[in-house]
Amino acid sequence: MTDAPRFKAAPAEPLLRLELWGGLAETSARFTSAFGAVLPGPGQAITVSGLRVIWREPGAWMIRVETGERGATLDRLMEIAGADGAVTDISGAATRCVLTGGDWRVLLTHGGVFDAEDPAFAPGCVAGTVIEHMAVRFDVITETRVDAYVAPSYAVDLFAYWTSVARGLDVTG
Amino acid sequence: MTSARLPAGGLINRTRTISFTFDGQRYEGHPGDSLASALLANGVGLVGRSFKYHRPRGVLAAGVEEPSALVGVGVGGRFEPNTRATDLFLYEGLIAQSQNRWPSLAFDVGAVLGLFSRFIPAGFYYKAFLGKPGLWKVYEHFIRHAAGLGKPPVAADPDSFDHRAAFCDVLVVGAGSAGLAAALAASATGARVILAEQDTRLGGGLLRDPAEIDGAPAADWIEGAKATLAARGVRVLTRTTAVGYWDHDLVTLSEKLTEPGQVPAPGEPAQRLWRVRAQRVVLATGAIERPLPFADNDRPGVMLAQAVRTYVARYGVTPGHRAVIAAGNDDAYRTAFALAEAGCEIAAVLDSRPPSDSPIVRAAAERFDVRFQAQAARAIGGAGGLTGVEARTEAGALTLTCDLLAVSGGFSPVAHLHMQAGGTLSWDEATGAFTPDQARQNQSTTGSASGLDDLAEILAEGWAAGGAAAHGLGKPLPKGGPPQAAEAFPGSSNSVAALAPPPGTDLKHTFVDFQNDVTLADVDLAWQEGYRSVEHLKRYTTLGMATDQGKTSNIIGLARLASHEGRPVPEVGLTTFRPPYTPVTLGALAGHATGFHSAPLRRPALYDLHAARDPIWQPVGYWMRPRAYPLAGENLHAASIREARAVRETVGWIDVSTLGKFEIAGPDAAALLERVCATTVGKLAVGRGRYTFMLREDGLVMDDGTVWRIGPDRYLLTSSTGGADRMAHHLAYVRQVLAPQLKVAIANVQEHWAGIAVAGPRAKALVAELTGLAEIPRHMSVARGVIAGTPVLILAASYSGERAFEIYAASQEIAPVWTAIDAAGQALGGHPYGIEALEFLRIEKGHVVVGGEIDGRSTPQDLGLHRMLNPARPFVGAPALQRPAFQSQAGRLQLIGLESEGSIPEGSMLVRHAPGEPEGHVTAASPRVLAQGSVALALLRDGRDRMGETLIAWSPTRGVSAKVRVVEPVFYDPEGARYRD
Amino acid sequence: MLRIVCPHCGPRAQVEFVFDRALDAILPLDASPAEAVSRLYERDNPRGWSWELWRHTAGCGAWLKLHRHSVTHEIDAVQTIGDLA
Repeated sequence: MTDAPRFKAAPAEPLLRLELWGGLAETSARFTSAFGAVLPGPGQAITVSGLRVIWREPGAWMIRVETGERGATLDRLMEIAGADGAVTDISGAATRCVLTGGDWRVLLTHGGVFDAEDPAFAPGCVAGTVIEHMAVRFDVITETRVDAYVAPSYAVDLFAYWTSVARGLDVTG
Repeated sequence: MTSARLPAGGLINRTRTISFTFDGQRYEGHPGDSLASALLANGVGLVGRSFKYHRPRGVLAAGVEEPSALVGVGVGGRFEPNTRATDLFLYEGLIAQSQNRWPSLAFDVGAVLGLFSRFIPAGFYYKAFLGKPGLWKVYEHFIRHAAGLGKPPVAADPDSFDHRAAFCDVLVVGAGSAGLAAALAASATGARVILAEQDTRLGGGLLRDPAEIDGAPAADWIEGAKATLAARGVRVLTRTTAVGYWDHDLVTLSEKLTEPGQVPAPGEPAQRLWRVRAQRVVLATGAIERPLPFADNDRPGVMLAQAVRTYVARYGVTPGHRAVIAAGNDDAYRTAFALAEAGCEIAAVLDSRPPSDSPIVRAAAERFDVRFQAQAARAIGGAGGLTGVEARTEAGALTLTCDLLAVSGGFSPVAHLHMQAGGTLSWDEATGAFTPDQARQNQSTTGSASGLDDLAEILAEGWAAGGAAAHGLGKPLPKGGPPQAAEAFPGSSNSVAALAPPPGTDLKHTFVDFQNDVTLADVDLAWQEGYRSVEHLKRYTTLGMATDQGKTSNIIGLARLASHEGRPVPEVGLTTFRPPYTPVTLGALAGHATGFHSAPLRRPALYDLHAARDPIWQPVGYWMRPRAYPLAGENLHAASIREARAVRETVGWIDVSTLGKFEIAGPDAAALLERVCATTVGKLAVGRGRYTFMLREDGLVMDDGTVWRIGPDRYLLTSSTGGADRMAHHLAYVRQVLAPQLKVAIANVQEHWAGIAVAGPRAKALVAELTGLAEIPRHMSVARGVIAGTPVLILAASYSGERAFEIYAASQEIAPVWTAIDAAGQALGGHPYGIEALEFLRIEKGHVVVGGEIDGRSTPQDLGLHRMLNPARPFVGAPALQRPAFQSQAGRLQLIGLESEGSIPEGSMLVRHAPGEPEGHVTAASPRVLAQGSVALALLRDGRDRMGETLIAWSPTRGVSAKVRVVEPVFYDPEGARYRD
Repeated sequence: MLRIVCPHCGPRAQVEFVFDRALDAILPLDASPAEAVSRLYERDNPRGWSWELWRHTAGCGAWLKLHRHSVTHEIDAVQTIGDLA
């Protein structure tokens, strides 16, 4: 019997959106000198200085503030964006759910169209896709943990769906 | 009927019994039995009545191609009609019933229809009612009851159904010898492989014919293959049919976790639909045996020759005690040997071919009475079963006694998925078979599906196909080689097409499509009446249109048409192959999306707080919003009037969280907004807002909302709830495609900001009390504050027409804000209000709404918004607004108001007198909030020139009408005095 | 369900994307009224290859140019618009 997935809604944490209209190279440089890491590219995410930085769109990132204060982080990011972009508080725009256990990959194939079972979808990878008509975003943290982001209006239904799937899960399939 | 269980043998588990019920009678079978094999084992040969003529029917085949043995199985919401008894495996307590008979299978009143078959050939009801349309309504009632096979369930399905996505390098469809070989080869290279098999077990034809593979009995080889595949991580799915081949190598698989009618384990779904995206697909789908055309060929006791062997070898059942075999190939001879081995007498073998030298024919001729150039001409018998066969031989006519007639008219490769994938076929005239030719997607076909019939060749080709599929993806070729076969009679089956009936056969009783009761005479009739195209033949006769989709009948019908046309079969063509390959339940297709979940549900952040009041809910797009909060004894109307009056007289508060909201930031934020919005935006001072509206590219009004300058380089745009996703897409389009040079960022904050609109003469006092702010923002100004410890943004906007404030907070923090407003508001004598009251209020103010007055057909001029257009015209829709069609207002539907003493029906047509030509329609109507009578907004042709006119608002479908007077579209405080403090 | 290879996200299912319009239906903001009518209403609708504008809405949100055959659904090119990867 393999490790059945467990999932739990995460407590609300500040979520910020950094969007650039130009100056990608300059902004990346400012980010690197501020945080000592490179702004993640398409489909990637990194953790740096208590921030989970997730590539969201071309020129846009979603930043979850794990430790630190929302206002101060927002100001710091605005400095990094400089004249090349803007930062917006989107804390209420997504609910985060943490899925743990070895079989989160199997759970995410239910009602979906994304190859969550592909081993190349590994820690540090992020993907936006659709599950049962709901847009969700996955952030693979470790081999046994993935964070899933969904609009709060859909959260109750998504968790109810995963609960019913997990009950009947074919863990060997 | 003299079918019976053999004393030994079969792949069934004889140590356990399973009880089941058929037509109210209890029987026993064994694990591994199909319903068909268990019925045959119990001597039950009559299983159903045919669709039109109610002819007695038994079991023809042993697989999914079965056209006659259709039953209804299960109870209540789990009942499944039209289930093939040959594709239904026994479980304890299975309850099945025959179909299309009354009062019973044995004595069916409908059988009398058979006597009238002369009058009801193909196309009869099309002809019978030409020129007499009135009669159709009378006869249709009876025809409906006489027609049809199974009855659908009426109770809701209690089970759940699952959907899953899967991906692989190589998908192998079919786990017979070719499919197993292909899966072994492909997985040996390290490729990601999925193997799907529609049966309960792997093996295909190996379950029916003895063979040795790689030195071991086939059964052992299959077990070994299973273990090898499992060890390599191959996903092996049994009871899983590949039902559709779609674009870009997407194949849908329908998996039965339960048999039809069976109760699933708790929490488990009954069925699962897989969507598999493969890089390569190997189709090892086998071939289906064809019946022979002769008179009364549909009688119980006539069976396909391979099916007979399946009953003997797999199920340990003999379908009869004295058999005749009629065929045009060597394969059917195996049936003679298998039956003889099981103790059955062989009366004769009728071989339609000339004498042959092949080993199996020679061996048979030594043991049985083999007649060459001989064919079956008529099956003799009745509901009780077969009693004999009339044969045509070189020596003349011959009558043989038998209770089983095993027939083989050749084999049709299962090319369905190949064809769904857009492939082509090639025709072999000798064997009368279409085989897959060119592939358009990444499919290949192997095994008997590609026309092979020698086991050694099938294993070799299957192995090669699997290896080639993986190799084509860059994997190495598989090590080792194909499995080696050893059989009693190896080699090809030398099949010769046997598609025509013997001369002089009674065509009216020679069935082609068993399920739809289509005979060769019907095919001839269609041709005589001019239906010459294969598409017309199909639809005129309904050949191939039943639930078996013509699996055993299409080629025979096609060959008959071709012989009339005097053209080769491939020139006559085939009808289109469409998914699903075998029937799929609606539950499997729906998955989770049934009942409550059949549409997505979006809950606003305050959903639970609203629910605690037990409101009347209203779906708005996918959202659920409170329509009204009735107090004890109130209906919708009473509640809404009370709520609307509270807003006009005291204070009310409503959840407006679902509105579309965007934060637009950057030096070019105003520039972007002036391209999206048709009004000016750039003139707004920091801290101020205005009403705005947006056009589509064709110049018609698309949406409306408000825009607020909340910082020097930051704006908040609000727009309609229903159009929020469209607006997000539109903003991104303008930003990325039309104006990529702008220095602007757009954040969709629809769900980040939750909002509560507080409106009424006491609204300002309420906001002052809760925020403690000294300066309350004036109308169309912005302020920031704190309510119940939560930072809030206050936008002084009004939709209701009273002094109002939209109070926004981050959605995860909105609940205490609502609670505080609710408590303070009630203390002031106010009430929360829902969208019904909001409708009354906004109609009185003449505020247009998306989906009502804004229905995508109105220009700004039509709605009286043209004075607000940005004169610089940089906005989407500006070019189209200039087109000649929009330069004159004459004849256009214009926004007007309507008044009436009584109620005005919403959606009704505006006419000068009823009945009459509609000149417009009522978009929204409501009772006056503080007075008697009703008001409405409407679109009326040339409305602005018709002030004071009296019209009728008329709804013939509802049978209501009202006299109305045309007035200006505003009924309350036209100067906006209520907004001034 | 088409399989579309997004330059940022790799091969994905069609349901994650939204078809916006034929590429030559993009109407510049400063077009003339005649051009507006032509691009809006006088469409070629070719039976064969054409360029289309799609958005990977549920994925990365990127706007993409797609070259698709309207009969066989073959897609032989998918390109990004703009340069802000």
